[in-house]
Amino acid sequence: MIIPMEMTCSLTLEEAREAPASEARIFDVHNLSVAFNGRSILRGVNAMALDRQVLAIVGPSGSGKSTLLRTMNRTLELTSDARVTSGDIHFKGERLYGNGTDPRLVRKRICMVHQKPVAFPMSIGENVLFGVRFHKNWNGRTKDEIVRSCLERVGLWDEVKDRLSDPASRLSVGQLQRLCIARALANDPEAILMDEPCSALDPVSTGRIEELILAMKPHLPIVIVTHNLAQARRISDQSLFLYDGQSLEQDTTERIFTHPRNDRVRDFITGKVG
Amino acid sequence: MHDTAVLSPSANVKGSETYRRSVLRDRLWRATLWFCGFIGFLLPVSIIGYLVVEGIHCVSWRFLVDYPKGTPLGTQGGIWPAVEGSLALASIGLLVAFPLALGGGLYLAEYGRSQRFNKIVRFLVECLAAVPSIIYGLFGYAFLVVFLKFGISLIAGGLVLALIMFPILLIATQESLRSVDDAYREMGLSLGVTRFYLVRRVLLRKAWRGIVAGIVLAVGHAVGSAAPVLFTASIYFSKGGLGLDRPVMTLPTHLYNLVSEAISFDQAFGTALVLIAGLLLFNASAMLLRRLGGGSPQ
Amino acid sequence: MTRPILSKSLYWSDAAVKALSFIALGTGVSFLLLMIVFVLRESSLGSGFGMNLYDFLVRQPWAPMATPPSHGIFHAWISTLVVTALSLGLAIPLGVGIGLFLSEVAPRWVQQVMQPALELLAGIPAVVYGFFGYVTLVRNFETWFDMPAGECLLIAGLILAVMVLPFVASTSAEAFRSVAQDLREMAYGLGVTQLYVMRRVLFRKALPGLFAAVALGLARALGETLAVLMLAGNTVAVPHSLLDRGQPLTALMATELGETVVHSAKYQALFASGFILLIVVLGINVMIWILKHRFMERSHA
Repeated sequence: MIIPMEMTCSLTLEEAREAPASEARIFDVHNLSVAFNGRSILRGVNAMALDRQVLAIVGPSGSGKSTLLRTMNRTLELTSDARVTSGDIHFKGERLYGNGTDPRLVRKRICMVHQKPVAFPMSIGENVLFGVRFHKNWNGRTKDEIVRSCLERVGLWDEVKDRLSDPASRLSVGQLQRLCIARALANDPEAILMDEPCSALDPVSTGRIEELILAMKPHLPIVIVTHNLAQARRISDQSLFLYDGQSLEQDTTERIFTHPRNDRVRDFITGKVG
Repeated sequence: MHDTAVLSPSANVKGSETYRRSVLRDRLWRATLWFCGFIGFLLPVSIIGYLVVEGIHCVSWRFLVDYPKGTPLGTQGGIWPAVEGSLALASIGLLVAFPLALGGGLYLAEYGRSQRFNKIVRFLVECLAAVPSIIYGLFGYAFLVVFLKFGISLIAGGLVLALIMFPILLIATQESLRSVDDAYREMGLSLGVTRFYLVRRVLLRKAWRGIVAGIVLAVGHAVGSAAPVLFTASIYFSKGGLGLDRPVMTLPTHLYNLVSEAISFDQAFGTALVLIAGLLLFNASAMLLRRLGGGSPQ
Repeated sequence: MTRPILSKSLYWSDAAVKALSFIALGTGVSFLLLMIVFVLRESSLGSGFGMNLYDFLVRQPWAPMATPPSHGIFHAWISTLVVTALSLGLAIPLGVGIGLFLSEVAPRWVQQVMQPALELLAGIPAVVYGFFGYVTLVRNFETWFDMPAGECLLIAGLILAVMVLPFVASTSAEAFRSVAQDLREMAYGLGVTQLYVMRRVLFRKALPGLFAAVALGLARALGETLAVLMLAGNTVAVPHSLLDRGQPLTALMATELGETVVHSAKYQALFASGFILLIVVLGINVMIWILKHRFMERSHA
């Protein structure tokens, strides 16, 4: 693999490659470049996410964090005219941008939680079942079982169990975001991507979501974009720094936050740059 | 007055004089605008009021369900065939136009990938929405009545009304769908569902109010048009009974007939009132529907 | 848990819906285009009634029964012009005034009352307007002005003004409202009166939208049929004063079509006039479209 000049985390990647199977790489981003109307947004990004770990993508605003996240489950082409110009992403060894790949199936297996939670115009229970009803992946469970187990996992069950047929629009923002996560979990995904899931929430709800992420970690790889460095330190195992569309450094969170190798990363962490 | 206190005594008197004059002008201007608004309010109220006052004595249940009678025909009796005909025409028009407009609006809002294509189509449709109703009448006559040999018939009139309704419905559908926040699309599609599932379960539920508003606008416009119907479907008097291949009476053409042949102004007031009241009721019930459908579609 | 990504599923439902909706779109739009083409075809481009454009529009009178028959429409478009000019002359000042009122002066509750009032005005069918004009004005004109029959261009113009008013009013209100709020705040912050702000700032910024409002009123006035049919008098003569009777183009078509043999010279003449009207109205609408897009861009500034 050709390592771009800015990348200084080759050490960590090699170690990861030799890691035992239980720490297998789920996402492998190779030299990914994304451009929009000739203007490049991502240039030669390299990254990886390991199973049963949380990868935090951090960096100043405008560095392309959300764009990178969206390439990882092929929702980029839905929301903008930006296109992947070179490189690829491997998910469990399969190419996401290969010729035969069905983007919709990608989205079924890798689900995303967005910044601003949005309730579909239906009841709480139906919201949870939205994807399940389509994909019909009941897996032998009844719809009540699915609703209950997903809502329990996100810690919402006790609050809403008596009003499952109420419209979801009546929930508070914090509850709504947990509902969105439950909705994603109901799809039985193999990975979850989160785009600044707590930025629209108050500190209490944020805390609950962070607990939820830590609770989900043993079951699913999670990739989270966050602009909150403290949050990244709290919940992530690996951190990836993006700056101006390029991946500067990826390493275990502990090492990166205490001994960053890249100067820009160090400046960012110590608050010299915003 | 404020101004003289604000301006220090050292300011020249002429200065404060001009200021006061411009404040006066400002007040006059505001009064003029209020007057304009008042007229704008007075006009519809007085027109409707006048029609109600003059026509109410004529309208009764018998008036609605009875057939035209008397000599000359129409001086007495009721207007049932006209009511029937108007309802039939509007229904046929809606039945034909709505599916086409819904499909078209759906395509433009959700499926059409090329922005240029969408803009061109939308431009065409908007232009055609402004075509004068007499032109629809000319076309309906030449194409449906003569060329396709439908004759002056319910079906010809219904199809012309469908043509009139189509642009209005299309624009309403497209706009209602467009107004749904993109976040719904992103969130839904990133769960791996197809666009059609998303449209069906989320987008249409969010957009239905705008679509209903469009239907009300389109139907109201069509029911009230006399010009296109005059040459494609209408007949002066009919014995009732609807047939797709037979001409019908309609409320606006009946009104026109009563007036232009000077048959009966009493009946004309009644007919006008029924027409207006019908449209108002239709509008009001649609508004009620939207209020009720209100907070929470399941 | 390895499920294959590499399967190109045919999202049949999406493909089907996309195809069906495209067909729906195509059907509707092609019928509308067919209309334009067909009207043109039926007019045979003027070949059937033996006149060149100048004769048709200006020189020859409308005398289909004469020998030789003549199908000039001069009297018709003169009437149309008079009635349209009169209606716009009344509706534009009042409409812009109402628009300004709604956008700048009216308190919220008044706006909420005026909105349905204007919609009501716009929703009254043309034939009812004609009827209303007939029973109120025509009757009275006969007594006031000592006319044998009260129908005249003046009445048609007055009623047409009322019909056009709501469109001019709401479009100009929209134009004024689209002027960005911060522009106003900056102006008021300098301590000037509201009139001053309106004159120097609002009118200039809203001008394209106001043109669009005028154009909209123009298009509607030109195309109105039933009301002028009932009120303008319907005589084949060139009008000389407002109290004269006239026959706007739309009324001419409405009156004569019923008694016309298909594909005869008169028939073609009627369709030719229809086509001319169509082109003019479409041209005005193109202009409105351009204006609307210009002033929508402005409000983003």
